[in-house]
Amino acid sequence: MDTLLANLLTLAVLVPLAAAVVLALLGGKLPGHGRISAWVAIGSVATAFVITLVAAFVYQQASTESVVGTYYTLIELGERSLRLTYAVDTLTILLFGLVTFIATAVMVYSTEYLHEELAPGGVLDPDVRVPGHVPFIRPGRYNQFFATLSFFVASMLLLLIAGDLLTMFVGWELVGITSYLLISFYRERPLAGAAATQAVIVNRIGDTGFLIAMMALWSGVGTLSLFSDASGSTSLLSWAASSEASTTLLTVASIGLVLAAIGKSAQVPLYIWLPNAMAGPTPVSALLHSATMVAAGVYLLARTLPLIPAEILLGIAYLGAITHIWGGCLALAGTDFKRVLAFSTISQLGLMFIGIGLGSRDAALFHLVTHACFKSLLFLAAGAVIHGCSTGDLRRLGGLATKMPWTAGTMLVGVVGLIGLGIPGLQFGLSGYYSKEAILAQAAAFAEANPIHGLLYYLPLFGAGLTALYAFRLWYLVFWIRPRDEGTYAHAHPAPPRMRAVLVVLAAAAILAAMPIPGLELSVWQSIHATAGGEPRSAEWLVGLSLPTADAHHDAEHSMVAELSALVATVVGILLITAVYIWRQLDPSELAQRFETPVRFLRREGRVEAFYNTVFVAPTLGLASGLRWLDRHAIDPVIHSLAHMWIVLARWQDVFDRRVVDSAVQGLSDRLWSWGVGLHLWQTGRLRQYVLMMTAATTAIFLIATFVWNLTRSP
Amino acid sequence: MTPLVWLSLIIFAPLVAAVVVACLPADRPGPLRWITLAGLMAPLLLAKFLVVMPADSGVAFVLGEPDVQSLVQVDWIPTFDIEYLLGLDGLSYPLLVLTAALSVLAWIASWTITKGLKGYCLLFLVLATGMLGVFLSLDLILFYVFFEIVLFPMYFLIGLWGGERKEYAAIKFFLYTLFGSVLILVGILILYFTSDLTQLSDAQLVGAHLSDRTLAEITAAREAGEEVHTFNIMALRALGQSTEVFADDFLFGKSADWWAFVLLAFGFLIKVPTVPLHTWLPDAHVEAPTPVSMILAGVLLKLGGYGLIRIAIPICPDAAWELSGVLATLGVISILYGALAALAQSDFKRLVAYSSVSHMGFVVLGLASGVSAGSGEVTTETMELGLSGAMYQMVAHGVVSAGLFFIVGMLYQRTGHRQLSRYGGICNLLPRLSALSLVIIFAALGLPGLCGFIGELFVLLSAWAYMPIVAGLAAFSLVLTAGYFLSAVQRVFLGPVYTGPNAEHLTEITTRELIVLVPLVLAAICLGVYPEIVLAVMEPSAELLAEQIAAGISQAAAGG
Amino acid sequence: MNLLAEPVGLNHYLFVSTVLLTCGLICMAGKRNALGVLMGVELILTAANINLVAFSNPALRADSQLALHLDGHIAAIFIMVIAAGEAAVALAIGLNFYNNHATIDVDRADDLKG
Repeated sequence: MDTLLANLLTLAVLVPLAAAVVLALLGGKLPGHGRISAWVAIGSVATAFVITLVAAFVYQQASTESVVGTYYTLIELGERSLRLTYAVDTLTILLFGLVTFIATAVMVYSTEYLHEELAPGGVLDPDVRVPGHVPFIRPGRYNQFFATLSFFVASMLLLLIAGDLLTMFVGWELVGITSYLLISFYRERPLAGAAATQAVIVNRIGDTGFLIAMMALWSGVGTLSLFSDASGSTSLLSWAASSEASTTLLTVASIGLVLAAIGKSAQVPLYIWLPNAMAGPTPVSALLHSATMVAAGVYLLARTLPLIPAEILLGIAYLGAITHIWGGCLALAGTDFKRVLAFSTISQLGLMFIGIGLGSRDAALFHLVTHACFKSLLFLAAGAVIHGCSTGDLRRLGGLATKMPWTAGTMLVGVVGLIGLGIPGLQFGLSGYYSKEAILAQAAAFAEANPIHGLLYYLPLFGAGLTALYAFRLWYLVFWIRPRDEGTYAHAHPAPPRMRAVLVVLAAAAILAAMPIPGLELSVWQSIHATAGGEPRSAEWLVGLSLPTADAHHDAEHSMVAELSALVATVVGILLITAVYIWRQLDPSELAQRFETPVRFLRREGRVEAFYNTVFVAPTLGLASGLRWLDRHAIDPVIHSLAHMWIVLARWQDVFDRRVVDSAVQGLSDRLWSWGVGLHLWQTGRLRQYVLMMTAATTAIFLIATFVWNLTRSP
Repeated sequence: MTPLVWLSLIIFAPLVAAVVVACLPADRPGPLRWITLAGLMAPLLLAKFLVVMPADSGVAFVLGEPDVQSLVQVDWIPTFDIEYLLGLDGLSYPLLVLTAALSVLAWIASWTITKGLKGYCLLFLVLATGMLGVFLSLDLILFYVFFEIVLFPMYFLIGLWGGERKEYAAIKFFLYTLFGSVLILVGILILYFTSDLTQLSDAQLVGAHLSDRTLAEITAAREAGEEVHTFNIMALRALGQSTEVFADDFLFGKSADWWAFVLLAFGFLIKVPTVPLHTWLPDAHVEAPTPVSMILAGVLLKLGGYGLIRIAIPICPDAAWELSGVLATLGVISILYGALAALAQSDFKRLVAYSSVSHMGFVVLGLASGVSAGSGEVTTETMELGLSGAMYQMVAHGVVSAGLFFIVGMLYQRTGHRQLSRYGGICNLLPRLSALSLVIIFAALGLPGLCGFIGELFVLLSAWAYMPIVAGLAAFSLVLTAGYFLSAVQRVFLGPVYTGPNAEHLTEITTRELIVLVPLVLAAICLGVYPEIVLAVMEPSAELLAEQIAAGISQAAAGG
Repeated sequence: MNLLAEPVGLNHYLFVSTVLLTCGLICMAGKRNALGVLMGVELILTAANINLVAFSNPALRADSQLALHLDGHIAAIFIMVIAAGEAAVALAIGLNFYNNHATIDVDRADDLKG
């Protein structure tokens, strides 16, 4: 049964992967101008969804809580081994279902949204300026889009099924690179390429943290597995629960993990890539950059929660709170439909971080699921508007409720889900209501236990009001107030039926996702709650810090406080924004003038990107140029001067050769020559002279010899 | 078939082809090209067949056997104990196959070369012989000879078939590496003259694979109280690891193995190359023709890493251990320096060249943590991981860098320039070329599932146990790597239109180019998805080496 | 001493030899005719031969018990053979010289002067 479960979910990973490979290799050759490829991709992802459902039923029959196993071993090192493993528990199955469900919906939606890509003569891209002011026409990329999306689903599922940090890192990086490919889908637009590059680079800063965590844990613990297998082997979680766990190591590893999560989940200070990532097609923003991929950071922290010391959790909570508020503020001032939604995503992810940071993994994951439903709905509604009006500029939209009522209606569902409206006490509301309430209740319990950190309760509360403000502002600006650009309004057309159907399905999901399904044990909340490893560590050195139990938000007192206060904050927010745009009690332009400085500050998004460019990017590039200069003008000259030195030395040696050695040899030979010339005089060529000389010489030698002989003989 | 014939054929098949080529007329390119191809294919096939030969045939390369196999031992210059000693183990076999394969691919990439074709064929074949010989030889002098043989064809290939500043680049390459070679030679001689085989026990002598003649000499020398010197790498390894012959003071209060290691490492680090000894690399790469760049990056840089792991480290484990901090620092400096310098380049090929500096830094870092026994939290397993990581990174970088240089070469061949700022829109113009290029570039980025990731991961995991700060800095380099590669992708492949010169020559990838690039892409994917295919060969040897080093160091610690 | 008053001995031979040598030298140094020079050469060689024969006398030798005392004679015979050959060559040179220069005056034979 266990192997069946693992095999099923592995199959769910492999089917989209196979579809991606097939499409990448054969996509262009499929019949129907690539129309088929969309359905191949959708078929594969839907198959994965069905497999997940089957797996869910299998799981209910199975006895075990989780199934852990190894795909294969990378390397065996004595007792240690580096392995790619899987782990299946309820959370895995739940998130598999979530990802495949939303992916199927988004892909079906995309068949209409990207219909232009199928145009036989190529796609006219009005956003691209080319020299000569000719219209820019490029080949369609329908097939490529669906291939990449299938690959994304496979990578995301791999990330979710991972039973160890290494496998998770593999999925983590793969979703990152599919994100790159999809952000740069409109690769001719200069902003798209830059945004894609920026997304990867910023994410890689986080990945450095992931690597550091892996390195530290591998060195210190000797394994990267999160879960113990059936034989009870050491795993990170079992090690963290034991007394051997070293706080230093945990701190280093957790800082790394948090850095990774910050990068992926676009938290302050690494959030800047996410708004820019909106350069990709809207369905991509719906699937990757709001619902699934960006939530991977939260998922990572949720899985590794028992490793993270409480002090770091507190930091996570504050970071989340800052992000929650800052994202809300930016969303409130935004003028681009998709950017506003991106800031909203950042803000909501901040809320999930608060949940994690306060030790309530379950509430954070719960919000992750509900957020995925309503945020993908919001993005797809935005896509329908952009598709119908050819612009996402909020200053040119308005009054579209009459033109596209289905979109307006479903988006309203999304907005209400986002702000988490519900009726306290009755436990009735849209999905966001339940999850937000869970986080706020946890915050209330936390603030009660640690009054000094009361801010962690008030900030999300303020954030709830802020969410209501910007969410309704967005909806009013697009659908309700008088149209501000007649041309846009006149040309607006409603979403095609297929897109509309997807919106309705997702709206239903946004309403129902959090509700317990009667007759079925497997509600979202229970699935999350049944997953092991939700207990946070207690504080070691921060005296007095006490985390409430993970179940704190289920006690009635805190729930009621949270529900009521959230309702008040939300309603105040709604009333305020309605007063501005509907009742006209306050004039928006007058407001903008009165608060000119903060509005301008927020419109420029705090100039954070410029700040980063000045503080981080420019110095790095400067250092890079400096090193290039160093190579050319410092190291090379040393090499050159060394070479030059040898040449100079060689010259000197040459001089020595000529002046000293050569001239000595020359002088000797000159002398010999002149002697030869001198002797030459004796050679008269006269035979008789020679005879005389010989005679004389012989006589002389004889005489001398005799003389010497006598000399030596006579003592 | 004896190992002697088989291994000699692997090395000298290209040389035989070179003789044939030399006899052919120079004006008919067809036979020249095909015979050269045959001469380069032969080693690849022979090397591959080694694995599938039956185990009892004597020439088979048995997977999972850690020690040296297929040994060939013939006297060469007996007066100085120099032998024709060949053999294979898990460290050399992957690099041998890589070399043979890259030679073939680089040759197919050279198909368009017409200038001085005959000379080019000859030089290329001699180059192949040299490279293959380096990975097979187990005698220091034989190793050195092959190491030098590589140098000369390379000099002429860069200097005659290169770009604008080819003479400068060729001479710079030549002088740098020759300088390194001289140091290596001195190191080798130090080892030779301080070695003494009589110090080895009988069991160690068996392990050292000595010839009968040498054994007889040792017996005689033991009786006479003389020393027996050797160039045999395996014997020197045994000497360095289990005796004290190299430990005596040699010069300035440092031992012989310290000096030998410093000299050898210096020479090999020039080849790797390590900052600040790297400036020959960008120039040589930029000026060299594409196939030569592929060989240069794919194989020649590996000679440095291989020399360290085959000679310097096993023979002088104590010195390596003592200097591992320096080695690690040099490695991480190379990683960061190369990445930063690549970030500042405007020439695509220079960028790729600097990326090689950065990637090869991981090899040095891995080797450093592979010899760091006893420091920090290092265990033998950690060392094995570091050594495996370094080896894997070498293989992976061989595939990736050859691919990268080929990509740059294809673009250069079409447009006649390499300025990043003057490209753009290649994705739309040449979709197939771009798709294959992106796979290679992602592999270079260290994307999991492609070959660049495994080596870097192993090295990082191993390095943290040794020096956490260094490992952290190395991990940070991934950000920079992403930065320079993706900004290059953005400038070259993305964007609306190509605005540079020769736009009309931008044609889709040809069949011949596919034959070169597709195997590289497939290798990048296979090595990334299933690293076992290389690790199965490599890991037992890495494990053995790690154990030997660990034992060697503890021996020295006990003795000293 | 008076040579004429003594029995013939070594000194007589040496005396004759000296006379012949002196005659030969004078002949070589004095004659301009190449044939005359050649005659002088023959005289000198004869003087040498006489010396050799004279010194092979057993009375003059320390190893007289063992030797045959013919060494001097053998050497003389060799010299005579060589002298014959030498005379032939010299005459040929002379003839050739005459053919080329229409003279055999040795003073004019300085073509090979260095």
